[in-house]
Amino acid sequence: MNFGNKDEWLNELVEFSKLPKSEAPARVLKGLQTRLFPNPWVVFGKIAILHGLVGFFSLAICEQFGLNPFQTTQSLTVWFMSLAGHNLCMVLCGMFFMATTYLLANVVLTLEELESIKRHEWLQTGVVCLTSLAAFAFFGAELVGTFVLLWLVGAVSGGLLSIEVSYRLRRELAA
Amino acid sequence: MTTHRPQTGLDSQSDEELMDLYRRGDSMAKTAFQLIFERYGGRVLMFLSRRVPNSRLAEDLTQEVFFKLHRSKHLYNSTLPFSPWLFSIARSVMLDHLKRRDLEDPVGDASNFDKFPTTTESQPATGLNSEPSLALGRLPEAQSEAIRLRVYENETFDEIALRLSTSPDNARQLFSRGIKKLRSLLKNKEDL
Repeated sequence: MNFGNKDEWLNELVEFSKLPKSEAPARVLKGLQTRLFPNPWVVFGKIAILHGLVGFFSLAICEQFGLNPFQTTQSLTVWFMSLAGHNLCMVLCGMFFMATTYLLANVVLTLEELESIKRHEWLQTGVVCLTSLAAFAFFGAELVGTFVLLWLVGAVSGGLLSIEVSYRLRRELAA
Repeated sequence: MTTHRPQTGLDSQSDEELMDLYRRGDSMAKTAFQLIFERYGGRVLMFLSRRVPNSRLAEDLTQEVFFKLHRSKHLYNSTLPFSPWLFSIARSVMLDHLKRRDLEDPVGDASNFDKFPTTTESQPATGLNSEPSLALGRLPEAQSEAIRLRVYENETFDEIALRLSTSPDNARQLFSRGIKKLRSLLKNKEDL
């Protein structure tokens, strides 16, 4: 086979076009579907575990609702607060909390798994946000109405944005 | 094809429209992909089967073609016909495979082993030249075993290395040296 011969390329294209329609074995399609469309529940499980770990360690640099398990004196919340007051601080804290997970997911998950997250991004992000809030409450955080709402706005937008960025970045690198 | 898919009314869509749906990546993406595969999977497999030595490899490469299509779907321009685009992917997957194989197996296609000359019209089929397999017996045991595993058992160099308790690089060298020696043995016999 000549790797760069245009005539050969054209001949092969004609040959390909004239091939009769036939069926490929079902196992080929099945193998592809498993690779290309991973089970969304499995992907959600991976994200939940990742978020549990990343979210916990992220408290070391950005405490949420006063939760500071590492007793650090330096926190991004102080900077956020000085930057734009309490309301925006809540939005930025939520954004940081979710974005770290999905940006790290970029390293851990395959492109197809990221694609699966993107297919259900509102559901995935919503469930992870609400579960996180429930965990905060469980560990003694004081959740106050307006702040929770602002945090949710930040978390959802941070989650959606980081999913998009992660997916596009990986897609370009993989192509 | 034994895999069933739900009736979605997509069957009447053109290839290009299906690719548009597939690229969007929503809930219809999986069905659109399945339809594209139903239309072209067999054709790609047939195209590749004519160019690679065994059907299992052709199936693996067909999977690779559609995997590459999936990874490149955002680059597809739906104003252009789909079929030549898919053909380009299939051809590039096949060429990549051939290049990889040449790097791994620089002395030639091991699958052609059985096509080595066995007898010539002027020479009766006797002794060494009657069967390359017999010539294998003249090689050092490790080389002969490496060739046997690679050619007849279709094993990878990693697997051969495991069996011969050596490194994959050494297994590759054993195979390569064995093939060279075998060719030389067969050639000498022919020249007589």
